[in-house]
Amino acid sequence: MEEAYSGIMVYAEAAGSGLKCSARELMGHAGILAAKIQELENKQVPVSAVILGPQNLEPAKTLTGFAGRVYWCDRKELTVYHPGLYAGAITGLVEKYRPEIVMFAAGPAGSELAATCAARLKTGLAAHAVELEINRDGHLVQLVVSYGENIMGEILCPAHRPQMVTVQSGILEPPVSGTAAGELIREEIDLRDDGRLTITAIEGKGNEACRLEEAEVVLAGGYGLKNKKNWLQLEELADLLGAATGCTRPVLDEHWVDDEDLMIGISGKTIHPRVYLGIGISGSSHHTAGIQKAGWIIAVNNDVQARLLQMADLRIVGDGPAIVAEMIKIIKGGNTST
Amino acid sequence: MEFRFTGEQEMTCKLAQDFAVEEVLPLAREVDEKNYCPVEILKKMAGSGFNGVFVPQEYGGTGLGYVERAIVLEEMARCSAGIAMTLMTHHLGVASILQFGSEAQKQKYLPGLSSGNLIGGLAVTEPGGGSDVTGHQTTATREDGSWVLDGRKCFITNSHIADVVVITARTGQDEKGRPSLSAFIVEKGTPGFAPGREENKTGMHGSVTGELVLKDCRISEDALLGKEGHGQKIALAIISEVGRAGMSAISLGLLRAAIEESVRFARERIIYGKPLANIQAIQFAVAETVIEYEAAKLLTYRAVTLKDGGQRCDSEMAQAKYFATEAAVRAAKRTIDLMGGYGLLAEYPAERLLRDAMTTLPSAGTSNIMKIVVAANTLR
Amino acid sequence: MNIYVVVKPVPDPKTKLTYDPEQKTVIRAGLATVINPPDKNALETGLRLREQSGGRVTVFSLAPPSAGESLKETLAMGADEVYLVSDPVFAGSDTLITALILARAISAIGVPDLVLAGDRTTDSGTSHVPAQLGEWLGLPHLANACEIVLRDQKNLAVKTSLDEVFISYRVTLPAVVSVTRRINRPRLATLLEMVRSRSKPVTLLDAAALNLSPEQTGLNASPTKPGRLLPARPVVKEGTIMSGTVGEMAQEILNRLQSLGYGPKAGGGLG
Repeated sequence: MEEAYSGIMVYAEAAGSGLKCSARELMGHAGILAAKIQELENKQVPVSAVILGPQNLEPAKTLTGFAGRVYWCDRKELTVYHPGLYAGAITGLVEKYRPEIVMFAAGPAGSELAATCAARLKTGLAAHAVELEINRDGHLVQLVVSYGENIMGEILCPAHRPQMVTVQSGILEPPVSGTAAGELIREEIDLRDDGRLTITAIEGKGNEACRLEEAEVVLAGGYGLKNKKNWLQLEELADLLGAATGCTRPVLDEHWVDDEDLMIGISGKTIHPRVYLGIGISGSSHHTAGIQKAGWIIAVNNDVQARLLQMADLRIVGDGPAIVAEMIKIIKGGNTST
Repeated sequence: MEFRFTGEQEMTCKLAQDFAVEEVLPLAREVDEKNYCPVEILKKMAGSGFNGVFVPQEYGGTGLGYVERAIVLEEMARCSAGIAMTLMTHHLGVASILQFGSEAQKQKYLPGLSSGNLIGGLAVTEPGGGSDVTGHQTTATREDGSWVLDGRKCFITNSHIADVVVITARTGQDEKGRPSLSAFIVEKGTPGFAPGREENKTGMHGSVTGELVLKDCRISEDALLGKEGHGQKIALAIISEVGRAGMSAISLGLLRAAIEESVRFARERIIYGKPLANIQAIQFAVAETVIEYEAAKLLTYRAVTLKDGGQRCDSEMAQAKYFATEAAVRAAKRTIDLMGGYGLLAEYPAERLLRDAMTTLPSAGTSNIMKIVVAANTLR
Repeated sequence: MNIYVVVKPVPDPKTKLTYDPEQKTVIRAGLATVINPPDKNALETGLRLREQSGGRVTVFSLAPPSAGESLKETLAMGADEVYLVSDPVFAGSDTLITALILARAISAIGVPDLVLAGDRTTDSGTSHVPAQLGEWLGLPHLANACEIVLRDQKNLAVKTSLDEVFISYRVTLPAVVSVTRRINRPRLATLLEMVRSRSKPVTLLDAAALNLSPEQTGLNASPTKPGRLLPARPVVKEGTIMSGTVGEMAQEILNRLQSLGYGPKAGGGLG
């Protein structure tokens, strides 16, 4: 059964006329995995990409630099993300081309799509992989952040095909360009729309949502802030510094913030600021998975054992809220010379 | 012997804690600094079923008991003892009417007291005597089918916010010439009845305590609560069972807050390169507070369990109140000592815990009175 | 309107889990469980829809029998009934099989107008189950809902929150929708509702009740299998550590920011 499946397929998302960063990262991952399987099993491993939407010809062409084959569905019903139709298209392509591995970028749409496709294909799906490996048997091993204090778990899908995975972004340096001279194939896919789900509106989120991912300086707060008042104070400091704010899951659990777009880490945002300043954050792997690519890390924590401190370039052992208040005072007072 | 809460009591604990953290905790520091009672919170508490927690459902109450009431008060007090005190005092008015009221009085007041529409209170203490109930100067005289009340009550919590106050007054003398008291239900806004001065207490700032002044205050015959001459009995029953239980429960909240503050500080403060918690003297202090909390908890919940069982419990209530309140004071001081200089800064809760704990001591009877009650029961 | 809410009891996110290096497992014994926070958002959504148009809110949960107590909180929040779907043979099920079991339970009791769920759990956090549940039930499904409005008897208007856009859909009932935390603020359970809940049914549905055999469920039936558990790689980095007065530490951070080229915006003292 496994022999009938071959190759790695990536679901790629576009950003304007180019590719999303996550798409290029996935192509990078796919290339590495393909090379590993090739070496192990002495066989060719084709790498393909899927992109949907009539507006995405340019991104589809770009993908031909990374994949041997690019499958592009240009049906107009696929212009805007429609979970049922998109899943139908992807599933149809998987059934037609039978890749042994299918990869999606973890994210609100990617995770929904991957789950839907996995259910239709009755196969296994691992979520938010931070590392991918091929084991001796040629199986994909997905490493995910497990529940608990800084524990990673391996997930395998030994007996079902394809092996599906959503991959946490920001883990791999995305290749800027590729050397493949892939083939662009316009795919005619039979889309059955039973009319139970219809798109009625689409609106951009504006700058705020992207702010965190594009910001050069991020000021993040965690459970160590102790209360909502201190969170609001952190927001004030971020404002004064021109920094974007981010948080950890406990901050959401405590309802100091209700916007999960601010959460950094697994199931949240991956960021790559030049400077990351983490206040009252212990640094569990759930969160730190989202700051792998941060430049300078400054951490403030009362607990000298905090994991985030071990990862930081500048480690401040002190009371987060008090230091935030003091920083605000210094900035406002204009009294900055030491 | 079962030493565990039932499933419903566990849920009461969780629910009360979630409410306290969400609604009471954000106000705690502010009401302490600005010294006011956030009356609106009583309406929210009513929504959760706290105001009439031990009132039967047929009168609009939640239909639970004094154990659940203690759980609720403990959780409120852990966040703010002052705000808990407001609820606790409201319950004194509620319990008076529930235990001694006529059917008509119960129907008239209990639904409103349970729903958050009415706030309750109890006014017994006078300048002439707190512990000495017979030192009453307030009088109630019959006149043309009404009662006319004259006098002054002091140290009355909820004085300025209560809608319905149960007040004791002299209505005559007994056969030995000692004053005989009766209890009355007086509504806010009755002409001749008004709050007087507001006291500035050192602690329990989330509650308002002050005077109530009665001057030619005319109330109807059916405002008499219970039988004429039963005022002392009513006052003592409510204070000794509902008041003392309430103060014990509030002290449990203070003790828990003391433990949490001590632990947090001991873990975070680095001294000689290690957390303070590594130092044995600090460990002893924390252990002492924990042991006292556990002991106070057992005494308190035993006493309220007896009350829910309809059994006599005045000695047990006195034991619990004496131990829990004094333990809370010791725990608060221990916490401040552990924190060094930081313990005296207003930005940490510790010093507020001490002020609040001190303020529990004279309420529902002083520690010495508690000892007299226990001794009387023992040496009888 | 007949509404089901799928709920999962999870370890209290506030408690620190410890790792047993011998057994290579997370120590779960004696942990307090709470309702997965986003599931409370889903329940709140259901309760509000019931307030609006009448009906019933039923909670389904695939969990061990001990979870029964923590599920009572959903009743104390206002749910009408709980089905605890539980059987030792379900243990180790991955998301596909979990969704299958829940689908069977839902079909057995009767497909409602709407199935709601929180978008992800705080323990495994995959976010897969709601979509897969929709697939097994053959119902249209949507994830990431941040707004739900009942348009009429048969249709729901749902706004979803993606990375950079909000997309709104009309979905025909019956359907499965998973919600994000920003959709609402869940109400607190009340004592009044807790007392009312004494008469609300909590029913156990086991494998036999659902006509499921051990081969169809559990670890063996699951396409994904767990491998090893490994401690996260310790991060070894050179860094400067400092402590001092609050003022000194605050100044140090500001100095470092300035040296990296970042400082407060105009109006402050730093350039």
